[in-house]
Amino acid sequence: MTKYVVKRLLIMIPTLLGVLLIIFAINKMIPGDPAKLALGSNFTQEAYEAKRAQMGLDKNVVIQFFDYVKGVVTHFDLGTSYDTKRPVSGMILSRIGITLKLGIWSCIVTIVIGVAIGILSAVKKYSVIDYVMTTLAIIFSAAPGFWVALMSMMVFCLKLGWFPAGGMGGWRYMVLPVLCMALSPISLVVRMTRTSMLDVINQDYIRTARAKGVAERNVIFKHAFRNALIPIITVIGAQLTMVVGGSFIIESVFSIPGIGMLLLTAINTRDYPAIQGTVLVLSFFVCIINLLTDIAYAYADPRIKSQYVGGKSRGLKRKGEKQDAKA
Amino acid sequence: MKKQLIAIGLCVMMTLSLAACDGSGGSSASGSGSGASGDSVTASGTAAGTSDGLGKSTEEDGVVTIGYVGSDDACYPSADSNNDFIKQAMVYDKLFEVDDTTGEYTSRILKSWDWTDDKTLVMTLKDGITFSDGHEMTMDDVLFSLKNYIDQGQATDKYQYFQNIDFNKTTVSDDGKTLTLVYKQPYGPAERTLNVAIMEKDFTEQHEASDSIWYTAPVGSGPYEITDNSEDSYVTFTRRDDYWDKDDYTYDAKQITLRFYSDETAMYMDYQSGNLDAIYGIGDTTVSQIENKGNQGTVQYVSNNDVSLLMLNEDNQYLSDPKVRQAIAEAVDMSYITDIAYGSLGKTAYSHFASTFDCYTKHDGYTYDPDDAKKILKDAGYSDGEITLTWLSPDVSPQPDVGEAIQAQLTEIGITVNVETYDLATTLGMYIDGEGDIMMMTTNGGNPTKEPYVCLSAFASRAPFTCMSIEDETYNGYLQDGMNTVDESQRWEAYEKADQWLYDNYNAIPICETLSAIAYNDRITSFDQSAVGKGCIGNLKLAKPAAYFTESGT
Repeated sequence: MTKYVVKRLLIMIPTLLGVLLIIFAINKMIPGDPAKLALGSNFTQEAYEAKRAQMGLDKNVVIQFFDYVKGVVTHFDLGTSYDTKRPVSGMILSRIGITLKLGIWSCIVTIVIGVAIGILSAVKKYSVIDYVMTTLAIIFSAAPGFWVALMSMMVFCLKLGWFPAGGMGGWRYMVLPVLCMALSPISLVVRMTRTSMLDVINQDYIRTARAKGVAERNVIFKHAFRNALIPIITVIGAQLTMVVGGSFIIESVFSIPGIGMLLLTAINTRDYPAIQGTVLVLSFFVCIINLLTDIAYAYADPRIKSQYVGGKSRGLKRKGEKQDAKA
Repeated sequence: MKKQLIAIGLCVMMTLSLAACDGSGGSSASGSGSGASGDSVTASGTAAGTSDGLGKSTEEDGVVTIGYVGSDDACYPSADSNNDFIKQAMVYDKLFEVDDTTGEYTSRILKSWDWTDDKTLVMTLKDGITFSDGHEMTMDDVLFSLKNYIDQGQATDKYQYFQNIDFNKTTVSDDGKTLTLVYKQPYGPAERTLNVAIMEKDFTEQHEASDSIWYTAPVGSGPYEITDNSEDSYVTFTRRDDYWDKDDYTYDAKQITLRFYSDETAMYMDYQSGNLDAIYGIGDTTVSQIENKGNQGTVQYVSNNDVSLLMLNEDNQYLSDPKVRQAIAEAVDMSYITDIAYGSLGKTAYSHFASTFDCYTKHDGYTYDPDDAKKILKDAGYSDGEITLTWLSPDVSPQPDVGEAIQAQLTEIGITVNVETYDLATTLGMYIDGEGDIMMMTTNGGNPTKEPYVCLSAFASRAPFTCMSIEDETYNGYLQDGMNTVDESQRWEAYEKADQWLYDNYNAIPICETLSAIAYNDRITSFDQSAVGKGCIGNLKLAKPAAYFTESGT
């Protein structure tokens, strides 16, 4: 298993390099000279040349790219922001915590609420609860994130006065953004959990378990739910990447100074180092989430785990067995 | 089937209850939307002031929370020309300021100042000025602050202005109280461009401009200091009870938290629900909503001291002809453009200076007459549809709307306009490269001292935005005349001539002056006019001010 994780971590390197190369190339193709933008008002040709040299823009594009990669690898130097004149790594570090907090809480809410409602819907299939939950799930999966955010602000801030409409501070500031971020994933998880559970509940071994007198709670959680987990994990994994990558919508609506907002501001100000750094970090987290999803498969299904643990020797053994059979 | 119907019914009820939350509050009283410079409109009743633990500030005397649409910036005046004016005015004292009502120069930190000749300004510092870390201010700090604008490169417009200072001949007296500032040539805008925040030399030398301490704990001599900061989220200023000049200047609020919003909707909701005491720099829609509802506090308007202009690129083969420029000036309905651009926060301009400027002259304005404009073009030999121009603007409101409106109006006189909008950074780069035929530009409202040179030099010869620069010798001569004299009457005369020249030659067509608006609840009794522009937001008056801490413990 460790070997597999290390292998996956190593594969992340070319993936991130590819992302970096694409972003770097796009940035270079967009019109607008960062040196001129940084100089702003009146400037001489000498000042312009000096600025280009200071920003490293006078070098060959390939050299610029490799200088950047070298800086990242050797001392996590993501460059200096053209806009704020501060190290991009520092800017990202000061914001990543906020985005992670938002992402982690929304994941927890998604998993807890989504799975619970999905199981309930499956167990109470075709009941009023089931219909209400599935109908709401469809509505919220179709509703755009920013609309849900605005509606929740109107209800919970303006009308009820329970939570603030924007900004950062205590836990109250996190409630609405977390819920809004989780709502769409919850609806997908609910539907997937329900479908998956219904498939499993109708299997013969569940009927056998019930016939043997196993308590209903154990039948649902120990036998049915565990076997229904794989598709649920797939959906959760996919949604988590959406949560990380799409946080800028919620951050923007709720004025949360996270990494998504940083990316938006960087794009608007043509702040290349900040764009590259932010995309790199976001890509890293997407890779990590994908890895964690795959590891979760292994823990949910022993058959998958067995492929990671000594899979090669088991395969040889099977081959050997077949040869013996032929003989 | 029955269960399905019940479920659908429940969902419909929930949706309707959500919808019922919209717009049910507030009366629909007719609003008094007009906004003149410095006006305030007080709505009857009280603003929402609920206290549920969120807006703790609303419970405590002297604690105020203000919302602002914008981002946080370092409180390092000479390295950043963005939105840090608000923070600067709280944390630092400035060398010079201009009194909004009299137009006179004032200085809180100077005992006296005098021009000994037209190139030498001698300034003497008051005694007992202390920074928040306890150090006493000397003229070394003042000189360092000025030089630092040069050392930081072209980060601010001060870099350009201070090129005129001869730092080799500038001296500080031995006692550190007198600064003899020598200019290379007579420089008219001197005092107005010396409205700089004074930084402590030792502290600044210890911390680079990129250091996060400029967000969290900058050291200044101003009436407030930063005591809490969450970057791009909020910054809390606490009043310095040891402020060196508190006998002359008192501040009601002992703590002001400035909250940054990326979106005005969220800010307005927080204001309505009582989480904010004031909202700063609000747009026309929010202003109208507050005034129409009638119970959401006071709206105050203040001039931004700027004018939005329609700039015509004289390098374009058609726009180099004054007749074409005149036709455009007559074909554009300025009042309509003002309305769609700024609504109640704009008023039609009749000069290249805001009406708040000392050298303001109100012209008659160009008459909106598309028929005459068409005739001018025909007489000048241009056929219908011959002229095609490009509108170039950032995709930032209200510029694209203005572009489309001008496109429609110029189509009526046979001029085709292609509207091109890009993100701000790209557009600025294209302006520098001389692209674009018609643009909208706002004169430098970031200059709180209302210096005419700052406004007009933006489109002087060799201006950075090549597409807007005017190379005419007469016009540039007037600007030089105004710049190279310290005689105020001569300066105003030169700028009035420059303004008249622009008016007569249709190079820069004034569209409108803009206003800023701030709304505040009844915990605040008044907001200083300058605070709505670029002054100190600490200059607000509270219904229940917080007493200063004294040795007796009050």
